[in-house]
This record gives sequence, structure tokens and C-alpha cells, in this order.
Amino acid sequence: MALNNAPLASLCAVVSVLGLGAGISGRAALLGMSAVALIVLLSAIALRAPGRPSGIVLAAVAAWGAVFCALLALGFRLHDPTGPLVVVGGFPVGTAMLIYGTTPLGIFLGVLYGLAFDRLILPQDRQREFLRRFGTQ
Amino acid sequence: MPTADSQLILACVVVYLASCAVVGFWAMRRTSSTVDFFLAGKSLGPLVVVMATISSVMSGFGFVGGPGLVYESGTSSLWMVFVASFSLPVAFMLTGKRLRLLVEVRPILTLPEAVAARYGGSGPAIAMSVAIVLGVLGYLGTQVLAIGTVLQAVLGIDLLAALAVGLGVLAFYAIAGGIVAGVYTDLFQGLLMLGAAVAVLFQCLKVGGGMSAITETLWAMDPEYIGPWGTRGDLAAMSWMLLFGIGAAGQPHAVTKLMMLKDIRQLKWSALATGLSYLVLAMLWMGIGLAMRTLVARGDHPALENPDLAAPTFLLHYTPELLAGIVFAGLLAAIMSTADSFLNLGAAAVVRDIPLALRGKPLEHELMWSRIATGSLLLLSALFALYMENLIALLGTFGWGTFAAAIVPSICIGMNWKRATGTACVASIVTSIALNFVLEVAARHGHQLLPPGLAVGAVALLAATAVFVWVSLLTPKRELAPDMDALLDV
Repeated sequence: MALNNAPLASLCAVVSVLGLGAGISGRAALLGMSAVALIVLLSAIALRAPGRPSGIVLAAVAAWGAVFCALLALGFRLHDPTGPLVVVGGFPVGTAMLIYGTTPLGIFLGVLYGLAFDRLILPQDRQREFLRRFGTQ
Repeated sequence: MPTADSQLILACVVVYLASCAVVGFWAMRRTSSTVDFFLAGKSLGPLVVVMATISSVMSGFGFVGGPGLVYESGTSSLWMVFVASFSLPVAFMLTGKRLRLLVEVRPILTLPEAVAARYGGSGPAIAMSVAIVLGVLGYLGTQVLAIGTVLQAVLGIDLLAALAVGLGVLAFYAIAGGIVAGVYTDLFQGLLMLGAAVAVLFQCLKVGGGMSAITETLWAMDPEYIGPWGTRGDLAAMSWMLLFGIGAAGQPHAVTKLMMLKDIRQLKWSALATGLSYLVLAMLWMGIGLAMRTLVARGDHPALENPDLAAPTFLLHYTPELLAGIVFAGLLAAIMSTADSFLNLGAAAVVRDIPLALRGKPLEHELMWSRIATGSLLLLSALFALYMENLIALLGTFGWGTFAAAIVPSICIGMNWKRATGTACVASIVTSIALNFVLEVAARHGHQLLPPGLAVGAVALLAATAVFVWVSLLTPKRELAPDMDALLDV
């Protein structure tokens, strides 16, 4: 049973156009959220595989995207150049959101890839079967 | 660039260059075929792949231009590097498994060959080769110029002599050992850069009096500078996040390394290790720029004439000699490791991809021609760098964006979506090249077609992605070969 990724790919196109519109009209927050949405959609396209339950991993990627967007929104809300300096971990609070929030959050995708590798991304039986049928090199 | 008047720095750089030459000599004996020359015989372990990937992505721009950008506009450019925590794992996710499996079942050595296998016909492969050659020329030219500039400062000689020394070493190991020499010098170079980045970060904090003191000084100077988006503004920050966060999966010098792994199962934790290692390198990018700007804001150092002087000035004036020597060697390592990757990609496009697409078969004596092409490309880029600096600057600027916009749709989406078509692949690559060129050239001639701060490459990437999907849905689907059909289901 082959997978139909056309809906996700179409969503990528829609989000790309939305991102273009956001960028050209100078809406930075919307451009940032479009970027995160595109990363989530591309990851979902790559992670889906026929005959394997990818629901939990896809939900995890979607949750990652939601938290990332929330942190971006917080960055926009917390940064107040006219107010007093509030330092968190050595940085102004809005910047701390970037350094201590989005950066470690990004690592989650690498951890998820490692954890899902054997069961979802490339199960050994699938690899063996593919190479048995086509492996010549 | 200030001149390093130090025997210790000179010694570090000479030891580094000699080590590269030794690795080149060793690799020459391990290179007996084009599979060795372009894919290191598909025999690399995960540590080598991780180090080769980060050291080729972190070019001279990362070690010189990055601190310069932070010095000039604060935290804006951190959105280019801190996204590596997810951008490199996402690159593995989108490309690693299928590209590595593809080289198991087809005699494929390069990305244009992978595109030809995926879409059929010669159009997609030729379009991809052209995009790669254009990007390679730009990147290579800027790296060559950077090698000359750094060696000029360290050795105290003129640019021509500095280029002769640096390119002589690069030519020896890249021609003799191909990508085998490239990746093993990258391993050495990557470890050197990681050590240098950690040591320099501590030195930056020490010189600045700690992170909180640095922040207080910079906030008093300009709150936007140390705010979350820097002085270039939120639009620049978000468009860089998009371009570098997604575009990393479209960098051929990084993605091709995944095809060289000995065992595909080693992809498993390499994604995380690559992202984390690159983050460590980003500390140097951030640390030097912030520390140097703090020193200037406090009046402890005169303002720099050029932001790109931030790294060399900090190293020469505010770090112990030995550390400065190691970082200068690391700087050369960053530049040369990127240059050797691009030499190899360019040679592959000229000697293998274009002849294969046009004639349907590879050249005879391919290994010999690959070595000749590597040397010729190096010579050509040196001539370009010396006599056509404006062209090099333009191509260098649009390199990352062109690769991202050309490769993300056709490889990252195309290798994961059966409905994608060859026509869409060509259309998205043409869109990528045209938009990047037109918008960059217009901007250089004073016609700002985009809002200030919006990165050209981000616009091209979004447009190419939309074009790729829509053209795929509107053009007839081509039957996939059985192995390709099965590959897209694995």
C-alpha cells in the first residue's frame, strides 16, 4: 500500500505562499511561524512510511512545532527595548528565550530521529528486504 | 587584516598545513577509483561523517564573517547558526536514508546522478549540475580569497605568495586524495575547530567580565543589539531562520557526506551529534562578536574599520598566543575544509554529471580527469578571486540560497513524494537560480525589490517549493523504476 503524500506536499506549497506573503508584507512573526510549519510538514513527509504506525512520532513533531511557535511568540512579546533590562541566564529575557529555549528545543528533533530510527525510520527487516531485492553495488 | 607578528602563531599554522599534506599523501594511497575519489569508497564511520559535515558547513564565513555579523548587528545572525540544533537533524531526516540506500542499488556518486535516477531524462540532472557549478564557483572563489587573506596576515607575505602556499597544500591533498583526503582532513579540522570554539568562548566571557556584564554594556549601548532579533530586525532574523533552518538540507557539501557512510544504520545518532557539534562551533561565532563589541562600547578598544576584523583583532589582542595560533589554524581549517568539499563537488559536476547527462555514459579514465578537473577548478577560482572579485562576491552571496532553493524541493521533497515530476524539478531549480540572481543583482544596483531585512534566499526557497509542488501536481506522473518505487516506500 503506497502512501499518498500529496496532501502534505500541497500544504507545503500553501504554507510557502503564506510565508512569501508574510515576508513581502513585512510580517516577521507570521514568516517565522510559516518557517516552523514548513519544517513540521517536511519532517512529516519524510517520517511517514507505509505499514508503520508513525502517529506518535508525527504528533511529537507537531508538538515540537507548536512549542517552537509559542517560544517565538514569547520572544516577540517579552522583548521591550524601552523597559528596564531583565536578565535571565546572562541575557535579556527575550534573547534568553532564543538561547535557552529554541536552541535546546531544536535538539529534540535529533533525539526523536535517533529514538525512532530502528522502529519507524529504517526497520532492519525493511532494509534487508530492500537490499535483497535490489542490492547490487 | 592585522598582521600576526608571532612565531607561535606561525608555528601552529605551519604544523596545520603540514598535517594536511601528510593526510593528503596517506589518502592518495587509498584512492584508486572514482568511488574513492567522490564518495570515499562509501567507507566512512560516523565520527568522520559528523566532523566532515560540520567542518564543511562552517566555512571561513563562519569563523570570520559570523563574528563580524554579530559585531555589526548583534544577535540577528544567531538565527543562522543556532538553528543548527534542528536544521542538521532535519537534513538527515529528509535525505539520509533514501540517498544512502540509493547508492546501494545504483552506481551513483553525486546528487545530480541521484536526481537523474529519481526523475529520469537528462533535464533534471543538467539543471541540478548547473545550479551546483554556479554555487561551487561562488563558494570556492570566496574560500580561495579567504585562504590568501589569512595566510597573508599570518605569514606576512603578499597575497599572491600567500595564495601560492595555501592553494599549493590544498591542491596537493584535494587532487591526490580526492574526497578521502577531504574528509580525513575535515576530521582533523573539525576537532581543531571544536576545541578552538570552546576555548575562545571562555576567553570571550573572561575579557567581557561575564555574560551579564556584557549584556548590561550592550543593552546600555542599544537594547535592540542584544535583543532577540538584533539590529537587523525581526524580518531578517525570521527569514534567516527559514533559510538556514530548512536550507541546510539543501547544501550539497553536507548532504553528499551522508552518502559516504559505511553503514546506513550509523545515521541513527549521527543526526543529533552533527547538530550538537555545530552548536559548539556557533559559540565562537557569538562569543567573539559580542566580546569585541563590548570592548568597543566600553572604550577599551577603538571601533573597527570593518566588522570582519572582529575575529582576527580579538584573537591577536585578547587571547593567549597559543590559543590564537590554534584558532588561526582552525580558521584556515574552516576555510580549507569547505574549499576541498566544493572542489570535489565541482569536479564531479564537470567530469561526471554533465557528461553522463549529455552522453549517457561516463568519461574514460574518469579518475585522471577528476584530478585534472580538481586542479583546473582551483586554478580558475584563484584567477576569479584575483581578477573578478565582484563576480565572486555576488556568487558567494547567493551560494547558500541557490543550493537551498534548488535542492530542498527536488531532493528533500522529491525523494519522499512519488508524485513529484522531473518537469517540476527543472522548474523549481530554474526558479531558484533566476530569483536568487535577479534579486541579488537588483539589490547590488540599488533596486531594493524586497522589504529591508528579508533574505533573498528565503524568498527563492519558498517560491521554488511552491513551484515544485504545483508543477508536480499539474504535469503527468512518470512510472518509477521498480527499485526507485520500492525505495520511496522504505
